[in-house]
Amino acid sequence: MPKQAQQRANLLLGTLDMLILRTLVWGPAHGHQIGKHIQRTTNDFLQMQHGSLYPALHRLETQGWVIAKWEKAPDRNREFKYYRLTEKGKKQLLLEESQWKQMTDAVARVMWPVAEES
Amino acid sequence: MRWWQIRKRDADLERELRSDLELEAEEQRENGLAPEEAHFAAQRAFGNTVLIREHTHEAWGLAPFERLWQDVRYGLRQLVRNPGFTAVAVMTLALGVAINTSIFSAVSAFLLRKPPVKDPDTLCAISSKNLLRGFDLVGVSALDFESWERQNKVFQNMAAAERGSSFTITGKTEPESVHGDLVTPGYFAVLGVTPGIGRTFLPDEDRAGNNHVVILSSALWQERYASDPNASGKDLEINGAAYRIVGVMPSIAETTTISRPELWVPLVFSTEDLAPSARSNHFIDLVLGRLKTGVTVKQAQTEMDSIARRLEQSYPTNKDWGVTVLTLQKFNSRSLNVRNAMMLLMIAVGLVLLIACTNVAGLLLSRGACRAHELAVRSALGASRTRIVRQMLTESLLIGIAGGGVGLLLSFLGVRLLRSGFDFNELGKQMGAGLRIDLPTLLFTLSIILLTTIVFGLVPAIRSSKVPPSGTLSQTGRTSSTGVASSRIRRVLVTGEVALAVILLTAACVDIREVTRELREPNGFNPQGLLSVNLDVSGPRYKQLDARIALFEQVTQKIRDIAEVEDAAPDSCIPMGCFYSTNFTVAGRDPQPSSAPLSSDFSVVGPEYFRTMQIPIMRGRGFSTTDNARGSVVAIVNQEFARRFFSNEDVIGKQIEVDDGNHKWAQVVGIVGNVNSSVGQVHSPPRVYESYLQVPVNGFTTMGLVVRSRVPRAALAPLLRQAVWSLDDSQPVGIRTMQDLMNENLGGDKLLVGLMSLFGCLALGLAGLGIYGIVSYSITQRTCEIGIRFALGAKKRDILRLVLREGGMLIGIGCAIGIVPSLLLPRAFSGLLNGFALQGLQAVFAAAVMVAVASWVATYIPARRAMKLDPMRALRTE
Repeated sequence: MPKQAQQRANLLLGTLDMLILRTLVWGPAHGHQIGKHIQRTTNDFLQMQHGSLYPALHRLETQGWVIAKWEKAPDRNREFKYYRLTEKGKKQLLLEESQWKQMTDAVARVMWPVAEES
Repeated sequence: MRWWQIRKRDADLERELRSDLELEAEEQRENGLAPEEAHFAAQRAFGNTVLIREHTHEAWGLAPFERLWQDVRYGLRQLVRNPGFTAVAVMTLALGVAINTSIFSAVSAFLLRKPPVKDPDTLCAISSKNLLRGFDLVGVSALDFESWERQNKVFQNMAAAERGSSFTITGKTEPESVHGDLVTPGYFAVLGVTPGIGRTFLPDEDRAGNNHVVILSSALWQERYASDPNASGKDLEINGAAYRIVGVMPSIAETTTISRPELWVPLVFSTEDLAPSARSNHFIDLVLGRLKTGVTVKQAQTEMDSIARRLEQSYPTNKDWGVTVLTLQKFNSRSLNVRNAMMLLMIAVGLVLLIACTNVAGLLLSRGACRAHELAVRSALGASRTRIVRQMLTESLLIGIAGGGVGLLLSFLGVRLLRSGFDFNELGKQMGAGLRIDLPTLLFTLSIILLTTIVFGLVPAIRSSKVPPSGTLSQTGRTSSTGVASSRIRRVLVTGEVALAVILLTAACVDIREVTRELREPNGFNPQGLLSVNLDVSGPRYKQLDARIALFEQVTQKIRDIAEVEDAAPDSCIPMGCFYSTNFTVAGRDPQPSSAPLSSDFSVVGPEYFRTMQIPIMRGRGFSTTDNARGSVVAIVNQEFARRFFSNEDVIGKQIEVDDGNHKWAQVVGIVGNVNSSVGQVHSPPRVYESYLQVPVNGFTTMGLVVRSRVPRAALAPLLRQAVWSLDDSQPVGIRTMQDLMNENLGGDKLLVGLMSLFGCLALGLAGLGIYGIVSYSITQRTCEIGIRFALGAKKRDILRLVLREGGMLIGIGCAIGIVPSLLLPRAFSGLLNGFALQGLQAVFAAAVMVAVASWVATYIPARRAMKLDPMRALRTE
């Protein structure tokens, strides 16, 4: 278990916001769902820390990229706080996505220059 | 997001976390875990929910507010938990703030407050400047005023006033004496004040015949006419003549000038005032000018300078006369002549505040060290250093706010007390009436609260944050005692307090010595049983010299006939309340054109005067009844006059001409002893006397008598009034004992002494308290060490000596440091305060001894406690 934890990559600073926004493209979700989704999609490679998930959600809300509302879950008879992407949030997602691409391209060019040339 | 929504947001967050946590638990259960187990698994997955919440709060961007609120609550709890510490710290600061606020209210009232008129910055007071003697606020002659008014291009309008004349109002049961100003018709227009009722003076009401009109102050109107709106138009009998009331002025007209008149009448320039030679008669004591829009005071000064130079060339009387232009505010504060005293008082209260700060800093330092363990735990749990400094500063700020708040409340009392301290005479009362906590004072108080908080809070805060957690936590109390640096800071604090206390007490001692000297100093006459009786001879009834002489001859005779009266004599200028000096020339001496004219105090007295006052006749003779209008004019001078002006020759037999309106040579026939014109003068002024039987005393509108009697004033006053009223029932008879006059004279000095002594005692008390606190703290910290010393065989005596030696050294150094600047104080005081004698060094040493003794006591009390420590308990102390 500890070994496995070590192998899990820590989220790169700043990418969490992007991941959350991307997750919300599928539709509104509450915190637990978002965390689970990211974890499942990456095959548990990215371990969601609740300690960073909730501050991030609230940060996004403060920025106006998402809005939150208490709604009843379709499968359970209880209310959850659902986050929904705003127009501003969509723009932000595009921006962060393109920045992330530039970043990975740049890193790739440094790391695998031969592959690039050939 | 607003900070006040924080509770709602937090509840929302908590609900969100709980619901998600429950969901997690449900999912775990669905995965087949036992309910109990599922709950823990969910908890594990979530981690520390409190931490999540804290991190989320950070995301809201409100963390600083929240932390501040936390710190404030925590700080308040800390303060409540240590009521002794809190009370001492808050009261110390409160005292410091209260005295600073009270004294500053005086600074604000006397030096900063602008006259309550429209555009006070463009209202100027223009004075003559005596270039030879360097007096720059001299009165103005009528002709100069007219020349200035005609020639200047910088003032919209100008007005002149002769202030503080006394008027006798009759027509009611007893004649009443009131103060009033004589003003040119445009006066109120220049001030920019419009009457509440009626009108101001008309342009032609400054001509004799038209001038029997009067404007009342609102105070007199309320008192005498019960605020009757129809008072305007009624007649009022002033100095025996009917004056038509034309208006009533709102109270701002009274408070604009220091004289606080109760009425205004037109200033009429007589033909003598306008004679070419009268350019040297500087009787107008206030010329006001309203600057034209856009003209600065400096430009006005330049313009007036060039006018003065032109006048100098045109008129020989104007040689060496210049002009001073000041804003009325500056002119008023200069005229009050309290600037230096205020400065000294502000320095004194500032030093007391510094001692108070030092005390609180010492307390905080000690407490910081006591809380070393707590702080170590906090920093071990992850508190950053800035966080701890912030926490400590917040606590200091709370103390500062509490102390400042209490201090501000106390200062309302302080201002009241200060106001009553100004009650010593008329001018003082007027000055005291202006004292209040106004906006500048409030701003000053707020800034000193902030400043003191930083001063006393920062050093201890930084100090306590330096505590290394590992050391403090692992090795409990035993070694956490005095670090070298913190003990050095405490030493500096104690030394500083002692030094400051020495300085302040020296100031108090210097003042006390000065006043006792003034009280002890003989004034050249015997004030015991002496009364002054003032009469008013300005009315038309006494226009003729003969009428005046007759009045005084008869009044003197009537009063001398009273059985209780031992002696009585007229005097135009009774010492201790009157200053009148005049120029004179000596026969056979050419007046030197380059030097100032000879000048001396001057008084017109009756033949029995020197006997009544018990002024010794040193040589020659006194006045006799034959020195009258038929005899040749004679003069008597005092020793100082003879010494200063006739050092190489015998003054007796010399001819002098005093500028008394007589234009006759007078022969000096005697020398009398010196008399001070105010209490305890260091150098008695030269004084020349002439007989009222020979001199018209034109310049004097009031004339008095000195009366000697063994009967107290209360018993004698009705008899004296009766005697005067049997001759003239319209006379307001002002009767004062010489002792009262002398007390009024000393009032300002006594107030200064009282304040300085108060501040000195506060300094002494605070310094003692501070030393006591710091020494007891040091003993608490060294309990263990003392226990070891006892265990190793130290005697009680040795321990006592140990503590006293440490304290004694600090006190010694502190006193030594304090003495050095204190040595300059007597010189500074005599330089800054009028009439202050330069005194010896006793005051400095008295102060140093007092501080040393008090500090020694403050050290001895905790030292005795150290001596009585039970060695076993001391060793166990943790």
